[in-house]
Amino acid sequence: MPGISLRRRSRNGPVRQAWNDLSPSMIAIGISGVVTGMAMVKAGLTPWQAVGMSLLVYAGSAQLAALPLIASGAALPIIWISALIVNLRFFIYSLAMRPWFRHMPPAKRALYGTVSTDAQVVAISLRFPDGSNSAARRRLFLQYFRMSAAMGWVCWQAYSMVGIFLGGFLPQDAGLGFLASLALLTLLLPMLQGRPAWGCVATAAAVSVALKPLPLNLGLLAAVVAGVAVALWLSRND
Amino acid sequence: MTEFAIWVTVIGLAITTIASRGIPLLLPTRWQLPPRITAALRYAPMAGLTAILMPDSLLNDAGGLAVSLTNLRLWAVALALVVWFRWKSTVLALVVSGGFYISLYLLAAA
Repeated sequence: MPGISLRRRSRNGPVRQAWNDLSPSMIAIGISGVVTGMAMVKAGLTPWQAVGMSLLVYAGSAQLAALPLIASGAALPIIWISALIVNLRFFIYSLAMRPWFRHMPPAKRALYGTVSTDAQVVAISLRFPDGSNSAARRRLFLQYFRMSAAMGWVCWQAYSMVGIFLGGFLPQDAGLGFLASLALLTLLLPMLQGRPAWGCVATAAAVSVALKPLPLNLGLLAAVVAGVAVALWLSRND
Repeated sequence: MTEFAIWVTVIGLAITTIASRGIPLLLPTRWQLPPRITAALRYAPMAGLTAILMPDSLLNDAGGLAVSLTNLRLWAVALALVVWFRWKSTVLALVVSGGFYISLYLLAAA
């Protein structure tokens, strides 16, 4: 992300930093939001059901995994498990962020975890790579977290609504859904440095493609686990 | 699905979101992972993003491997990488690769 320069420790407060770091990814979130909004209507949800899903579920990739299953009338447990497995990568992200939330009351911790996003976790892993946990640094982290979570939520919901209510005016074509994936790629680019990172990405790519035929999107989860394992192995001498 | 069934589905999906993102933060704080594992977990987001992106780029609609010069998606991914490493701007990378993909995609569809 152009906004990220890790060396600059300027007057810029964490709120401003979050704004700078996350602004470019708002394009990616916006595109995914529109695509997901259109997909909900296409799957047969009424506009208000779609709005409810967007507000309550707030998980683009899980929604996109669940919608074809909803449209085809799959059994409820299949829909839920499929979404859960797509969502489980956040289990691993949240584990990584856990030290920062230690001091909070449980309900607040759960809320903070629930509103986290891919783009935000990526930015945090670059900006706060260590779990270092002095009170001062934790305060900076929380301000950064709140700002980046708020940006993600507002942007996602707004563009989901655009997809839901104005999707009819846009070309209805599955091929354009790839734009959302391409937007995700731009979140990934700034992280591509160092052997562990490249090893992680190459492994995740190979495993996710090879295991795509697995049911319930298990390939995605396997790819995350394998990618992290390879990164762990490649960074063993650090 | 009936109206009721849709809402039941949606509530269940909301629970999966809360369960996957919130529950790790509720685990007792005395359960600590080894520092090396914690350090490696910061690679999880890039693995997750890659695992969403690559099947979409490398597989065709029938699920077969689509590695060929006519696979527009691969070209778009390659273009994004080149633009990023040359100019270090994610916005430029998205605009160039997205613009390339849309124009050729619409051209091919026309």
